[in-house]
Amino acid sequence: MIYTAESVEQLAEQFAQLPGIGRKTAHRLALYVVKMDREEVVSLAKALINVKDKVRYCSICSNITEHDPCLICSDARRDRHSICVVEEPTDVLALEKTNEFKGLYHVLGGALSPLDGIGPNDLRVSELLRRLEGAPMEEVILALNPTVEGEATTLYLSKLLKPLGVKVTRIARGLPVGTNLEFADEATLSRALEGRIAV
Amino acid sequence: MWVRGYRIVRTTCIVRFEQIHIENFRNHRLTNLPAAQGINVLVGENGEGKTNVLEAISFLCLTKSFFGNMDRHALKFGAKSFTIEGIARSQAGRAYSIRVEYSGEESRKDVFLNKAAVEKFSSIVGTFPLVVLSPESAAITFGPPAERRKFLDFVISQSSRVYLEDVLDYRRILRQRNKILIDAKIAKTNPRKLLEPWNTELIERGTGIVLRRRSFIEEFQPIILHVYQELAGSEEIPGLRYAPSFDLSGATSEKEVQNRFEEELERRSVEERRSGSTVVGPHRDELELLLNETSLKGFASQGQHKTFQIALKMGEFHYLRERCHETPVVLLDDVFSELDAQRAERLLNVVMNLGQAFITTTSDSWFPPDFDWSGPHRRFTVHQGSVFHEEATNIIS
Repeated sequence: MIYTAESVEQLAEQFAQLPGIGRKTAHRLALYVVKMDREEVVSLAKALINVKDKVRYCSICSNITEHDPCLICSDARRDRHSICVVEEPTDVLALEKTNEFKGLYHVLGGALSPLDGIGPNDLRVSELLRRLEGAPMEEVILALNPTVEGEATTLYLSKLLKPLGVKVTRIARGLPVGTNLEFADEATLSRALEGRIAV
Repeated sequence: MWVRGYRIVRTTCIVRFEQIHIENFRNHRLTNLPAAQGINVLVGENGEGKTNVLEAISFLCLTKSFFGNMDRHALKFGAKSFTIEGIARSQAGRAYSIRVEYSGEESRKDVFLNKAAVEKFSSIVGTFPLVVLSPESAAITFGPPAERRKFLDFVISQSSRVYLEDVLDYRRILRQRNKILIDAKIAKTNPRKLLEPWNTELIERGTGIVLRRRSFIEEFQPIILHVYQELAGSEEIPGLRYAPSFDLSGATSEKEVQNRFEEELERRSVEERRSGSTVVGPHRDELELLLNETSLKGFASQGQHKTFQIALKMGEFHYLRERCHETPVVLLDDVFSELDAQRAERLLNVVMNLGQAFITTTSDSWFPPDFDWSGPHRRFTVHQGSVFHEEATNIIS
């Protein structure tokens, strides 16, 4: 059933293993590479290897970085009194784009999910506790996903952290900015109603 | 004619299908059904494809089969994809189109409402409410408690999206929690600490479900009474009793119910550790069906069971009409053949007043011979995956 070249098939198979890429897209990408200039292909290959060789986890916050400690952890202008706990490095990226949060981060590396074999010991929880020890931390912000697993992790961490005397908060759940109430789905709207605040 | 303040005359939005287009779905290669506003009777021998039309309609309303069949099983043999499209119109004249496409190659389903892709399928459940009565409905009265919970979830979900989200979340929490319990049982460890965050979630979501089920059953009581007596025309009084998995008596507020749930979870913690699964919660609820204060099970006749099943389904119709302010489409799959002449006639009279209905039958001999097919009702024959409208010449252009 192979109508193209063997090497194209091999490349397509590699692409197909990436998340969000189906067989058809993988083939399209592989054929696109065939059409690319040699230099472009070389720089793509180099970029792939570079990522693997240079990127590591920050020894403090576990975010991905090329410098250890990472640029956020080593930035003296960041507020060292608040720390934002997230599931994945992509969440740090999303929060940084807001330009609103000036504190530090801690990447857990996932959320509690017994079905996937992820318990408290599989997350970077003890690292978080060690960071809080002796540090002048005032607030821990739990910014986990609004899923069943993210919620369980939030509950677990808040129970663990509250006895330490630090202020523990969680991000609000509710309406996206820019939408009208009438377009929000009922479930989101009712959660937003649950989390209402006094004005 | 309606009961105790239950007939609130509001402008209910009635959406009715005008065209149903089916392609490569089960034994239908290409079927166009010009649906009538009232009763649509599909007549045909067994295995000709009558029920498949009803199943296609359920894809339009629920994005899936009401039998709970896998999507790929609905693909016509040898076809790569199936498409079902419905053109509907509200009473106010607004046109809707709903389209379900399934590709077998990619195992992918897409749903389009008015040509726009629907991202989250659960968000359109309830847009076209649906009531189904089929031979499988017998399980509601004869089957295990899970069947009656399914009935509760199905009806309440169509009228409350918050309930649907709660149920979906609850199932996930339950699976996670049960995994901890079974792992601890095998490893012979104490799961108490690991369970803590999941307990809080289980109680929160579970309480939401319990409260809604309780108020639904209260609201449903007068409806079922009315419909049952309309069908049976007797002195029999039907009833519903909610039997939750933990004692609710006296607990009214959300907080009180949560506390009861938590206490019971604690009290039975040894038992759940032994069994390796969660033993308290709405997934263990029962809905008891009563006739003259006595449980239907093991006491009622076949006819009484059948009448109760129909009453529950017709009650579902009235409930959805009041709550969603939309008139559900009614699907009756091979129901009339099981009824005696008198009950069949009563049911037909009930259904004629409901709005749009699709009825499958192997023989329409139970229909009154002088029935007027020129009005809002139509009769189709189904043969080898094709649907024919008999009086087509003067109705379809």
